[in-house]
Amino acid sequence: MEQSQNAREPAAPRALPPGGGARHRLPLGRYRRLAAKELREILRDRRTIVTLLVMPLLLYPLLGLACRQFVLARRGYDMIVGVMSEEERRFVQYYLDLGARQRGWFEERSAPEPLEGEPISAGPARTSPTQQPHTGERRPSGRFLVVICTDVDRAVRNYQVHVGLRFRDFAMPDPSLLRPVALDADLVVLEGSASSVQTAEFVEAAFQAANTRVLEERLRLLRVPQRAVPVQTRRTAVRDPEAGPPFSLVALAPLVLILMTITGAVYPAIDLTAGERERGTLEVLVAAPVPRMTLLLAKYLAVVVVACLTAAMNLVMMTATVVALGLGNLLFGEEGLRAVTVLEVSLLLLLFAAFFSAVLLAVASFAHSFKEAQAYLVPLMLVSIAPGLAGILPGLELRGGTAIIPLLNIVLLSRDLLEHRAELGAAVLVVASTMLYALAAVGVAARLFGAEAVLYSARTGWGDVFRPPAQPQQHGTPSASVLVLALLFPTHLLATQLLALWLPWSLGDKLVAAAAVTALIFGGVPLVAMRLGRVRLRSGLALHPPPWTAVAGAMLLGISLWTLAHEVVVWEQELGVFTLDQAARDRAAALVSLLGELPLWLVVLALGVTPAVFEEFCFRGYVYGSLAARLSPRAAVCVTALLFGAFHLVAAHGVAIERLLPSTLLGLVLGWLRLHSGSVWPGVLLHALHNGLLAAAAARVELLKEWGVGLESREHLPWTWLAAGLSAVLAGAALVMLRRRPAACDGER
Amino acid sequence: MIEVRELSKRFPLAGGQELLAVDNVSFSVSAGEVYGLLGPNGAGKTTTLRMILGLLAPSHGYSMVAGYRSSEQPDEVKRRVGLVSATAGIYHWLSVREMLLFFADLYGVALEQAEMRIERLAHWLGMGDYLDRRCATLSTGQRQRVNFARALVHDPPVLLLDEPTLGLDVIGSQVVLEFVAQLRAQQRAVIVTTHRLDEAERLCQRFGLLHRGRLVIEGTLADLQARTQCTTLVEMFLKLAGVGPGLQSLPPAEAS
Repeated sequence: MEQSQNAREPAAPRALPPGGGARHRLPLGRYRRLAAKELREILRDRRTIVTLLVMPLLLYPLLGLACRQFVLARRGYDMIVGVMSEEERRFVQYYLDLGARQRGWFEERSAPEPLEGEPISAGPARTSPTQQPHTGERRPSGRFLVVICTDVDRAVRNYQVHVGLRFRDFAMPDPSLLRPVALDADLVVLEGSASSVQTAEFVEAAFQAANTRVLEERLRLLRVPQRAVPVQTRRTAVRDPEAGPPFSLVALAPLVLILMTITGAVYPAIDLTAGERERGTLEVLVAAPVPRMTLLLAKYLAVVVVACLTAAMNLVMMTATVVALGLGNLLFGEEGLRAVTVLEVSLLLLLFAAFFSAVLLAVASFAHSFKEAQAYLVPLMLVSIAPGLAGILPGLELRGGTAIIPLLNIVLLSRDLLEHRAELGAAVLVVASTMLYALAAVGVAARLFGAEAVLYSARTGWGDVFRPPAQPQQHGTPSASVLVLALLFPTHLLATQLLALWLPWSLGDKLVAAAAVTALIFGGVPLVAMRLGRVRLRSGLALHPPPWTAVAGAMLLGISLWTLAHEVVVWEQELGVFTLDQAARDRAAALVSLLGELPLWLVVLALGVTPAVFEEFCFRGYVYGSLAARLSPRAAVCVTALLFGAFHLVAAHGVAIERLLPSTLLGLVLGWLRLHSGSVWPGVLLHALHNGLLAAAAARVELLKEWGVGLESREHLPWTWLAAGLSAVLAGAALVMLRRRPAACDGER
Repeated sequence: MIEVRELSKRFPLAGGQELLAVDNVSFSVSAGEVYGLLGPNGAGKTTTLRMILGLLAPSHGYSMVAGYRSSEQPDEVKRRVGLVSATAGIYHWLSVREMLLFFADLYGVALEQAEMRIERLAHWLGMGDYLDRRCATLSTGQRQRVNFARALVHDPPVLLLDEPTLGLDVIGSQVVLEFVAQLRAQQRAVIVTTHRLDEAERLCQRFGLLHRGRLVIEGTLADLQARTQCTTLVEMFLKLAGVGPGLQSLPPAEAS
């Protein structure tokens, strides 16, 4: 709306009254004090105490007991068998142990306790089909313990023994086996008890094996050439190697911890946003001369601290329960629950708390009241449980796709850490993606918290909150740029991996498709964001004409930087910094060998120029401009470079941590170039030349070999090449610094 | 001290429509003056105050406090303004002292100075007995005193009082009236919004009557009486609400 002539105000006075400041700077101590007030208020509330202390105290002992019952039922226990006399006890114990040995259950254990007269040899089991351990057979992990009880039935009913044996006319068998053995007994089982039924099955199986052995001995004594079991079957289990590990109870532990962390964060997140609004304290809070972002960050810090306290309390209680109930080895294998693992899981929970607290704050900031916030958050929590539950499914592995799904990735990584089989590459991907999502969620929360549309309108819809600004903008906002990156990261990863797996296409088609996808993702998403934020194309992407010195410098840097990048990669190789496995490297090498068959222009355009152009528009254009409007230019260069490096973690064949350092270093150079030239074009030129040269080198690797350059074998470059490269880099940098474009031209700061 | 020029605010409504909550409002308030912004519910009083404080961006026009434009330098404006609102709440789990210290910190008041000011305000507002009690245990009148103390803890030259006596009993309202009289004596510029016209007549030197977002008449009580031919603000108000003869025929208000 046009401002009328008489509504123009006089110039603002320069002099400030006492206590006023030209720029209201907030020292770090203010953030701490603001967060401390929020924490004081939250921690004094009884509802927080219930979530923080009472719930873990009640939950873990109960869960631990249930878990132990479950594990024992699945993994075995000492099987207690009740009989009525000492003679019966000695015979049954001997006979069960004999049968167990025949089945190969307890070969590591000592020989059965001998009976008087030693009726059957207690030596090593004879080699017959019945004596082989059965690989596919269920085996008890405990042993048989035979005890005497006066009333077998009652002992079974009272859970004193698992099963009872009630012999009819028991007489100790003849030790010499010269007379037939004939004993009848009732096996007393408790109906409805899984452990009793299972013990009965093991007792029957052991008796059957011992009977067979006795029969064999009798046949041998009678010199009958017939074995006791004419036709014997043997169960053999095979496993699908692609099926992954079986169901793991360990995955439940992180899921429970994560759900409890969410529970701990929900109440403070609602109370400090929607609760404040409902009580009428939010308006007086935003009426204070403190930026909304500062207020939000203090609240965010308080929510994260409460979430972390809840997580820590839960972790302590879980560890204590595991130790007290002796579940360490049962759940976590022979190594048990190690202190290092607890620490790793704690850090992961901290990361998760940082991410989810931001999500909760963003959602709760939109609500008008406590109840409304609850109505939003309950479905969110239910939705959050789904990927968490998926994490305990057997066969689900932490790979490219699953490593970027929020919550699921944390559950899977925690599970892998607890099972001591976590991989570095996947862990880096989980951490990087979760941090990015956390930043994006903070960005959304910053947009919503205390915003006019949210604070003063009862009819606000999400569309009002994200309504474009009234005036065209020079740059995007940091929150919008983080949102763009949070959207780009998973899309880029999924697209890269899907293209790599798209088998029917030829390599040439794949290259063209990859270039198109890169252009669409890195060009399209920022363009849509700029359109929605009414950001001017020229200033938002820094499409200003650069000084000629910057163009010349960029050209020199573009043709020479690859030498230094190559050396960095070789050093990393020598230090053992790599996460791509041999199979992935072989696939990559095979791909590179096929590049030579394609036209050189196609390889350079698809692998070199296209990614360079669109990545520069995205990172040094949109993202850098958005960040530089709020941060210092140097900070914007560093943050953009780190984000650029993080994006290059994703390779077509997996997560390649070795790409982080060279890509971040290249990002630093490109950011520096953007800062000094004030334009995105020199960066585009440098990036395109750099990528194009590397792509051409990959496609013509044989030619380079003839020149004595072993790029594919990761050897150091000849020193003459290095010296020439370094000289060109220095000359290029000097040219760029010759003329610097004023920052004011960009509208930055 | 406060200057409002051609201030308007439109709120978007569903279906692409807009609500004109404040329509071309202009007035000014000097130091040591209490200005009554009067009008029925929904007249635009609170929206006007929020734009003056920089909480809402005006759709048109501007407001200035101590020479700072609210929409462009909201922090400078906020630093010079204290807000007392009937809907303003308190932090239940903090003591009165903790809450006042927190707000003093928000306004950048040093700890020692804040403690001195809190003691002085506690003495002035009679809060000494419950300064260290949890806010949740306070009565409505005590809470309103705490809100006054909160608005004054940074010693602002401008006070915006939005329905300060709403929900208070006769004694509570009387206490508020006395506070406002003292604020005027302290040479602060005060805007009071209220629909308690008897109080307004006792409190304010000048009045602005808002109706459907428009400032239909403005001036001292004598000015208004002369122009409306009504003796009391209540009669003017009834005209404004359409119960009596309308005020639409009156000439538009001139900003002072």
